[in-house]
Amino acid sequence: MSYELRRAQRDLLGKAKRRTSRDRMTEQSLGELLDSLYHTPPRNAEAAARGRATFLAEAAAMRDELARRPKRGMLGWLSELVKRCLGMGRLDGEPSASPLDAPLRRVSASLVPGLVATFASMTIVVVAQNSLPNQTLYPVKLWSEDIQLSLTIEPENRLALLIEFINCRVMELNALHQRGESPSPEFILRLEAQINEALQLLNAKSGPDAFDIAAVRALEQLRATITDPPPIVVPTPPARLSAPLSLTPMVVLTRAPVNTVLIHSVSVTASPEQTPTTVATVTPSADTTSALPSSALTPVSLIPVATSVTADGDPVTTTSRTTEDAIRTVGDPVDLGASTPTAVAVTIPVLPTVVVMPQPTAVPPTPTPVHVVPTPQPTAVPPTPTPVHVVPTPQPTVAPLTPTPVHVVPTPQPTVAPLTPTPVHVVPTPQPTAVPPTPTPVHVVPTPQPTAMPPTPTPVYVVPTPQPTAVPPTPTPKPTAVPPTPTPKPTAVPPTPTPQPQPTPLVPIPIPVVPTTVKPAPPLLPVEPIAPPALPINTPVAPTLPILPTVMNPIPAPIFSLEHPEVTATPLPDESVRATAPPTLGPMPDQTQQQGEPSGDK
Amino acid sequence: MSDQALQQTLLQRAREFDLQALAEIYDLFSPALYRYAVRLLNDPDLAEECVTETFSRFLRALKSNSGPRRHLRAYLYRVAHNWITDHYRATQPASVSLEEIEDVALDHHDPSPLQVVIGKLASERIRAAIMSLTPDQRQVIVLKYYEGMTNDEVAAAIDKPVGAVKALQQRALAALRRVLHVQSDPAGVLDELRVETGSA
Repeated sequence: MSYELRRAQRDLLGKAKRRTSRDRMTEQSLGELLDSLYHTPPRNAEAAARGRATFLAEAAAMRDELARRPKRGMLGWLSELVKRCLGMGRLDGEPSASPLDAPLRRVSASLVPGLVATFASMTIVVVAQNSLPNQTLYPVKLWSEDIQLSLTIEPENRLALLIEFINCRVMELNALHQRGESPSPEFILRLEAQINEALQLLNAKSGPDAFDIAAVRALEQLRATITDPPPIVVPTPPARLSAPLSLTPMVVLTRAPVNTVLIHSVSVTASPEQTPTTVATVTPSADTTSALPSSALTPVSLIPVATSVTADGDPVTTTSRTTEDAIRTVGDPVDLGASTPTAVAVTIPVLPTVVVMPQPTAVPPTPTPVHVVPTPQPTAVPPTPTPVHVVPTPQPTVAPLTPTPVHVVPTPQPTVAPLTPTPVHVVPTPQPTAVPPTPTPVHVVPTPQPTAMPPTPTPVYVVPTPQPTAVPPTPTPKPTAVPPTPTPKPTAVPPTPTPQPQPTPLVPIPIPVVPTTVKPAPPLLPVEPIAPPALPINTPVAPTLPILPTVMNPIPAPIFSLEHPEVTATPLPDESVRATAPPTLGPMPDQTQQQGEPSGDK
Repeated sequence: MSDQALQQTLLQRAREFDLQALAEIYDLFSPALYRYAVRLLNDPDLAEECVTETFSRFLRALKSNSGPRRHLRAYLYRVAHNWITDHYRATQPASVSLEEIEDVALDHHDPSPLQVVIGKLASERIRAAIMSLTPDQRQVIVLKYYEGMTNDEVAAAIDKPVGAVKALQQRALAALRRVLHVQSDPAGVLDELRVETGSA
C-alpha cells in the first residue's frame, strides 16, 4: 500500500516537474517566436526626413492658423463642451483618460442630444405659458395643458386643473380685450368645453359642498356669458370720464382651508393700465354657521365684488364679507378695518357703474354722509334701525358725474349693525328716475337699466357672479309695516341733480344682509349706532328677516368695449333676482344639452 | 531629467506649437513608432505612412486643445495602433506570391525558398496573433518585448498600475499560446506550418 502511495506521489511530482519545465520551455519558445519580429528592416532615411519635414510644415501652418484665430467666445466654449461630451474632441488614437471614458463617451453621445432637446422643449413650454391666443407660442401652451389634463385622471385633481385652465382662459380674454383683440371661435369652443367638463366633474361629485355649488354657479354663469352674451347697453358716459374703460373679469375658484370659497370679481378701471383685480375669499366660519340658517351657508360662499370707477379714474371696489372672511384685493389690498364677527351675506350686483366715488377703496366704512337713494320698489326695503354702513362716497363730485342716485344698502340687522361694519354696497345707476331721498336706509339697490346701447364690436366676456335662477323676488316686509328708524341723518343725501332720461325702468336689486350672532365689538363706524328696538344681541334675526343672506343677487355681465369708451351696464333681468332659495347642485337647465356638445378643439 | 519629465516638458511646449519641441518629439519617437509599425505591418512604406499619419493626428489633437495629457509615448503608440487596426480591417489578408518569395529568398541569400515561405508565414501568423490581442495587451507586449521597457515604464506609459501591467502581460501571453498552439519547442510551429502547407 505504502509502495503504491509512494509511487503515486512520485508520479505526481514527476508530472509537476515535467509541466513546469514544459511551461518554461513554452515561455521560452514563445519568446523565440516573438523575437522573430524583433529585427526590422532599417528605415529609409530619405523617407524619414521627408516625413519629418511634412510634420513640421503642418505644425507651422497650424500655429499660424491659431495665431489668426480670434479668441473663443461663449459659443465657442459651449461648442467645445458639446464636442467634448460627444467625444468629437478626441482623436481616434487618443488614449482614454480612464477605463470609464469610452463607455461614458458612448453614453454621453446618446444622452447629450436628448438632454439638449429636453431643455429646449421645456424652455419653450415655460415661455409659452405667458402667450396669448393670437401669438405663436399659444398652441404650445394649449398643448401643454392638454398633456397635463391627459395625465390627470383623479377627478379632484382634474377638476382643479380645469378650473385653473378656465381662470387662465378668462385672463386671456381680458388680455385680449385690453389689446383690442377678439378671441377666436376655437378659443371660445375650448373654454366652453373646459367649462362643460368642469361642470360634469362638479355634478358627479357625491357630496357637493358650498364650494362646489358656488363653482357650478360661477361656471354656468361664465358659460352663459361666453355662449350668449347679454345685450349691451351703453349709457352716455359722464363728461369727465374720458378715459376708455376696461373690464377685468376674473374668476378665481379656490378652496379655502376651512370650507369653501368662491371668488368673483369684476373690476372696471378707467384706463387700461389700471386693472385692479379684486379677490374676495369667503369662508364660512364656525360662528357664522351657527348664527346663520342652514340654507344661508352655501350662498354665503359666493360673494361678488364690484369695482367701479371713480371720476378720477381710480377704481373703487365694493365688496361684501362675512364673519372672519378674508377679502383680499390682489394688487390693491383693501383695508377692511376691524372686523367684527358678524355673518353677513351680502350679494352685490356687479354693475358696471361708471362713477361712484372718487375714493379708490370703498371697503372700510367711513362715517361720511352717505347718499342714500331708496329704490322705487319700497317693498324690498325693510327698515333697519342699524346705522348705515356705506362705502365712503360722500363726495359731492358724484352728483354731477353720475346721473343716477347712489343707492346705499345698510345692513338690516338692528342688533348687529353697530357692531359690524357691514360692507357698503353702493351701486350708482344711471337711472334717470329721481328717487326722493329717504332717511331710512335702503335695502334694495336698484340696478341701472341702460337702454341705449351703442354698437360694441368686441364684447367682453365677463364672469358675473353666480346667477340666481328662478328666484322670486325677495319677500321683504312692507315698508309700511316697519316704522322708520331714526338713522343718522347725514346719510341721507338727495340724488344727483342731473338725471338722464332712461326709458327702461329700474330693477331693484335686493341686497340681503344676514344677521348673525355677533360678539360685542367696538363699533367701527363713527356713525351713531342705533339701538336695536327689540331684538337682543346674540339672537339670530335671520328667520325674521325677509331677505336672508342666501340671496344671490343676479349680477349682469357687464360688457365693455375698448372701441367705445362709454361705460356700459348690462340690464339686470327681473327674474334674475333671487331670494333665499339655497342653491342646489342639480343639473342646470341648459347644462344637459351642453354636456353633449363637442369638447371644442381639445 | 527623467523620461516622463522630458515628455511633459515637450508636451507643454508642443501645445504652444513650438516647432523646436515638435521636431524633438518627432526625432525621439518616430523611429520606435516605425519599428512598431513595421513589425505589425511588415511593410516599410505602410509603416512610414503610419508614422506620418500618427504625427499628423497628434498635431490636430493639439490644435483642438485635446490630445495627450501626460503620457506622450503611450498616446503615439495608441494612435499608431489604431491606424494599423484600421488598415487591417480595410485590407484583405496578405497573400504571398511565388515571385515575392523568390525575391525575399534572393535578398536574404537564403537558398531554400521553402524556408522563406515558412518564415514569412510564421511572421504573418505571429503578427495576426499579436493583432488579435486587446489594445492594452498588445501595447504591453510590444512595449515590453520589442521596446525593452520595464514593468514600471510600461505602467507609466499606459497609465496603469504595475500589477495591472503584469496581469495584462500574463493574459496576453496565454492568448498568444492559445492562438499559436505553442508546443514545448518552437519547432512545433514549423511542423504545424509544414503540415498546413503540405510540404512535409
